[in-house]
Amino acid sequence: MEISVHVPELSKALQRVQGIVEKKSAMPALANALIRTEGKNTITVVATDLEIGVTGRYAANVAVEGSISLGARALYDIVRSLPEREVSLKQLPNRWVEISCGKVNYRLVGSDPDSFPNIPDEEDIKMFPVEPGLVRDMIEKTLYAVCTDETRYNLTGVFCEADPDGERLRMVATDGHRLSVIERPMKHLPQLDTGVIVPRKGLTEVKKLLEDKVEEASMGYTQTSAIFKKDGVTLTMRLVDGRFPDYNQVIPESLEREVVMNRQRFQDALRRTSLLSPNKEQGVKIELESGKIMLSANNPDLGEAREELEVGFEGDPITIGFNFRYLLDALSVLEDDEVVLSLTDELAPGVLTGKTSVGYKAVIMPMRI
Amino acid sequence: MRRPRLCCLDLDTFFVSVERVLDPRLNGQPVIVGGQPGQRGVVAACSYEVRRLGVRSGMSLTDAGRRAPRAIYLPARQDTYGEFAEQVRTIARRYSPVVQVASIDEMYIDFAGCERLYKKGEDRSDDATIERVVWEMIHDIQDSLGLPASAGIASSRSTAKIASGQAKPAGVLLIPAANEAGFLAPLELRKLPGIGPVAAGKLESVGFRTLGDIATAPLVELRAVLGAWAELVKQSAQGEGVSSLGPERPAFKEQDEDGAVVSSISNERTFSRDVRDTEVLESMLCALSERVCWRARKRGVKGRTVSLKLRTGGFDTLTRSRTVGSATDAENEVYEVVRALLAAARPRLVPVRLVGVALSNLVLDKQLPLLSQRGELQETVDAIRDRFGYESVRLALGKTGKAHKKPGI
Repeated sequence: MEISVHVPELSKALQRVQGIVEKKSAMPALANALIRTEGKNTITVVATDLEIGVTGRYAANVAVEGSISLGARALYDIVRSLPEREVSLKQLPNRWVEISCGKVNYRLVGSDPDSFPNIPDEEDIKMFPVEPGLVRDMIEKTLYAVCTDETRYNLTGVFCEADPDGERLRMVATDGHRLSVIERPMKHLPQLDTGVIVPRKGLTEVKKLLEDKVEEASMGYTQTSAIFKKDGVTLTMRLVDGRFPDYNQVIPESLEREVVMNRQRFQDALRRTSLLSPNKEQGVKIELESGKIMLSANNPDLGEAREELEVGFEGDPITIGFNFRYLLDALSVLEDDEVVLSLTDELAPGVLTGKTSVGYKAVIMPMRI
Repeated sequence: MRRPRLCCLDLDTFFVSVERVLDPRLNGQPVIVGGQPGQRGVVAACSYEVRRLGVRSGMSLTDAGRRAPRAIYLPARQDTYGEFAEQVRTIARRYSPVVQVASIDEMYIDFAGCERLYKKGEDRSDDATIERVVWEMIHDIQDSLGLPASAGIASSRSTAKIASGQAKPAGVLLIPAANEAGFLAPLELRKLPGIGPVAAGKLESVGFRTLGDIATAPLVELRAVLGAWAELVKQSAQGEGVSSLGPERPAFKEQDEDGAVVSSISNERTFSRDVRDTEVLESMLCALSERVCWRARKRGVKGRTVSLKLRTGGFDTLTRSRTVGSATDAENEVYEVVRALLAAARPRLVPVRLVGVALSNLVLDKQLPLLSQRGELQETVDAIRDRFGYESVRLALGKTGKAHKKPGI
């Protein structure tokens, strides 16, 4: 194989695979990127960790057709530091690959491209157009709540389902302590009878993919995998094979107390108070009474913090504890200037929503205080 | 979840009461049990009649003689009192299966979950049901043995004990859950079991007067006076603390009493003869993991580091640890880790003399679950154990001495 590529183009292609390649796998091919020619003007760059695969098509001048498999990290580090605009990759005997760019020369040891794992071809899956910004926003508002503990496998992804009337897409994530749910109207909805769990790592890549300015993207599902496409890049991921818990029963329907707060001020006060929260527990105490909300934290080794905010609240007072991290996570994805914190009692979940925006809810279980 | 309901049953002037049952002429008379004035020894018990004169249990007989020269002095008959105490316990056990003896004249009875068992139409609430039943028990003791007793009922041991003191003589005092803090707040410091004259003096010197002061004080201030004890005292003053009576007592106190802060929880076992069979070792590791996790859950802590201790027949001891992603108190997770550690630490089938499992890097588990981690099964198992003991429910894998399959929780 011998090709010549625009450096920024190849750099973008290789950046895209960095989140997917497995550096510590027992299978060396999983740390590699596969570069394959397609006709005279196109190459595809492929990477997989066996759960997620990415395939991107990029412009190139193909002199000799073929394919090479190279360590993705090293190749990316080389390409992005190259001085000139054009780089050529040439296959040498014994799987050596020569990279030349102006007067710069590298020789890299490649692997057998035939041992590169196959990414399932999903050509026949029905794809639906989606609005990139909308999907990215939905991912952002749920991804933070996904469980990172592999022993709770069924919670390690975001649950996606169509709402019963088939007009909105709903995405739900939980780690067992807090839950995030968002619902948005969508013109074209894939048929999701039971809902699917899309893995965290895959959605992180989707979010990155949708961050570039793009007008069009599409997605599709099968029983076992999800596919996202944009600009010649295809992300294929194996769905989490598990049953998502019945999340509806933990979302409180009506709450006794509601307090409206300025998001920024609440966030700042929480950050300041949290400085004296006990190291491992991350608890802050919230006391709500008529006209004010008080945040306090008590670290037995350091001391105490206390901050008061004036709020327009009338109702029975309540004292409740929360992991401040969970509150801050939810606050950081809300865009409203005003947020609403709804509480029932000190043992029941609290709900954080935007005051004007609709469709997003963060449900947070309290801590004992 | 069941509401904790602990009853502290205290026999009023127990030794005196027994003497009065045996000799009714003593009724209404000033009685002191312990010996004769001038003898070496102390007052073991005294009737309310002489308490008015300033006589107290524990006072020397000489002192007592000075204050109450005309009282009737009797020698203590421990065997007889013991027999009566046993009969009282027998009666108490008719009312609840979980009875914990604290001393010869004091016991704790767990009534948690008994509301529906005893409910009658006229009871206005669960509290009323339990209060009525405890009165029945007190009357039962009075009628069949002739002994007056008092009882306090609350959601923690220390509050129940204080309530029984306030209920004396021959009364019952139930503190509704919502009123516990209010009940404790105005009481003087010495009322709290564990605060003696020295601690009370120290606390008073820095401005603490009542249990309410303690309950609302910042922990840092209490630490300065009470040290490591501060957290427990504060909890008790808030009406929290030991809220159920597991039948697990001295045999399994191990190194962590309830509420004590220790940095790790571990259990180990020495085999009667060295073991080479991996399945037997794994079975023992499963049993130890189960035990360690159960103890962690009882204390409300989770650990991030799991360790395996191994001592070979040749007396080489090695420890292997692994820190897991999120803190755990689940036996299946801990077992999988120690099993992997065992495989890595014992490449050849060397004979093993001792294995141990430890959970460290502990964090308090104050976060309430939105979705229960192990479901109701684990909670039910723990509830059964709280009531009937650890051995009442066990993973089969740890029991058989042979590993058949992975634990399936």
